[in-house]
Amino acid sequence: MRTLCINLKTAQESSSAEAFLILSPRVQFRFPQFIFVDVESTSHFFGGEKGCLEKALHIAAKFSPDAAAAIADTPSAAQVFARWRPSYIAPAGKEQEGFRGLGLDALKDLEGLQPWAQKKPVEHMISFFHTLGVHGLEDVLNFRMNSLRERWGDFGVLLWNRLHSQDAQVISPLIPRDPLVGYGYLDDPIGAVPLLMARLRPHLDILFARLAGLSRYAQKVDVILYCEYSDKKYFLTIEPVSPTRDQVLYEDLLEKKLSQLTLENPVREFEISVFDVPEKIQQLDFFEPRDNTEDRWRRLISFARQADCEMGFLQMEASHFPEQSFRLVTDWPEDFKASDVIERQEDALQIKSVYAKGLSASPRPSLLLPQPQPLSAAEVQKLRFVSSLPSERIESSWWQISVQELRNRDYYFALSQHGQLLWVFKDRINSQVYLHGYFD
Amino acid sequence: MKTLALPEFADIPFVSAEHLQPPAGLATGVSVLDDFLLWKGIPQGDLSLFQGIPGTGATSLWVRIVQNVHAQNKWAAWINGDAQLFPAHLTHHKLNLKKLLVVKEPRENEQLFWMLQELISSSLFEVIGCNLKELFLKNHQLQKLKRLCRLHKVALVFINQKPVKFINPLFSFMVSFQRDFVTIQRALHRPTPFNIAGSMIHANFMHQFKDSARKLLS
Repeated sequence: MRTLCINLKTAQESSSAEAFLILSPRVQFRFPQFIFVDVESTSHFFGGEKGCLEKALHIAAKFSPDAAAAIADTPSAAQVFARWRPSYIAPAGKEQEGFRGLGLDALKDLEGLQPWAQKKPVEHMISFFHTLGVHGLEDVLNFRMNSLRERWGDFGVLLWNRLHSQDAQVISPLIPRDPLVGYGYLDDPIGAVPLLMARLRPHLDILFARLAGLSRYAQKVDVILYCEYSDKKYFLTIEPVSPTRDQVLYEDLLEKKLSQLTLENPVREFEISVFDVPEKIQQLDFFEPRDNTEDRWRRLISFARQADCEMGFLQMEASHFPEQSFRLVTDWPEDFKASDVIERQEDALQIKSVYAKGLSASPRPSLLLPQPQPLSAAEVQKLRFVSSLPSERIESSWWQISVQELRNRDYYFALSQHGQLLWVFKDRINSQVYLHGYFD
Repeated sequence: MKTLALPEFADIPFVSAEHLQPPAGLATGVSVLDDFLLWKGIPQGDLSLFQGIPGTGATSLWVRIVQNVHAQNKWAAWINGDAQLFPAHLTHHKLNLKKLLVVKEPRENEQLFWMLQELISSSLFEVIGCNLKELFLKNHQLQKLKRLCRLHKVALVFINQKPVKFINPLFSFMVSFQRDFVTIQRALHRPTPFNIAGSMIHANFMHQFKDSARKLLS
């Protein structure tokens, strides 16, 4: 077994191991700061053990800036190297070669998945070896198992086994169970957005590293800010237009939202909850550029949505009433073609005619008013109608006739006194003339 | 033998007129207009102002520009004013609705300014149209937008429904749409005002209504 040990240097939660699931499904956390990963069968995905080590250090940097890692045959030796020889990769089957030059203090780290029950026997052992004139770890290798057993019993046997790669420690597959939440308590309460963001960012780093390890996307992120003195809480929800793992986008959206907030008191505590969804799997073409524009417009739409500004693409709808014939959608609009459906069954041909398909070819103004605007009699008087007969009649079914909804319209082209070409209609129920659009 | 009137200029590598490249522009598709303008269209990376009450043809010119932009498989954006862009009209003009981002009328002026900055700095769009009831943006805001446009090479077109006579030098290109003709009020390095017939831009049938041969209007 080839084991990668990551020493995060600062105490972490066991959920931090989830971030390293990218490297292998066999990952184990050992309190307070060690992550052990079985990379025997997965290191080739990263271009070998060196690539795997670099990737692990890259992930570990999100948890601790001075994290260290090493690879050896056994977890205990890997831990020793992570502590005393950072970034060392022990040759397979010859990890004892790496003990050369190490002092006896390294014995304290010869733990692996199971730490020493007590440090005192190890310290006693080290002082005893010193009295014998043994000062290097490689010299301890020369002692026989029986010698250590006679002196220290089972503890001596365990130490000998660990030194000679005989202590079998198996790393089990990690089953993630912890919720994606972060919590922070600020010793000095903060009211300024940049400072608050600086405190939130490390938590977001960890949460998004875990998301990446779990191969999940964040649908939304909830942030609760607890104020000092008053029990005021601020609930912020960041929800981009589509689930994503783009941490920068979430940070930008959060910063934007925070800057709009007026805090009653400085913030003392905060909670971050990430709501995750399965990752979308997209098979990209080999020649397709990876930096596509889709992410940029998703980012743009997410920003606009957060600012309560609606934007999107025009999606045409199957309605003959102009104001109902389109809407704004945030996904790609689908092609809309009103045409007859021709079905062939052997020698038979069936044509299913689509109602009002000719509407798509009729003249339509470039600008449409969201609501038809009633014109006064004086205004109508000033209009010059192009024809006395309507260019088009649009009406609903007879059982839906209602004056309020303006569902019986005779459309005309008209010129205003200022030379504007207008699209107006006369309601057939109440004879009122409405302005509905401009041929601008 | 070719001799120079001023021999001291002999070493200066003069560039002939045909080697000069005009500044980048987006073609309008109206040949009279494109031939007249320095940019061979509206200026890219700069501000343009189309002025005219609704129904006089400003949106038609913008649609023609977007036609050319879409023909190059590039994107455009539009910010609605009180009236919204009608997709049935756009599909008649072969516009690709998948390449046109539409923004609903922002509620506040500040929001519009912010939105414009976001749209420009996204670097997604070749041309952005903004329909306004009135041009309320301050000069410093226009300056900021102009700088962003230059940086991201975006043509920003304001369509102002309430024409103003004052010619703002921040706009490199200003056009006024009137009943029968279109006046170019400002265009860099070109003699202005310059008039062209409205029929070249506007919906063709409008002028047919008034043509004596087939007069439809009273």
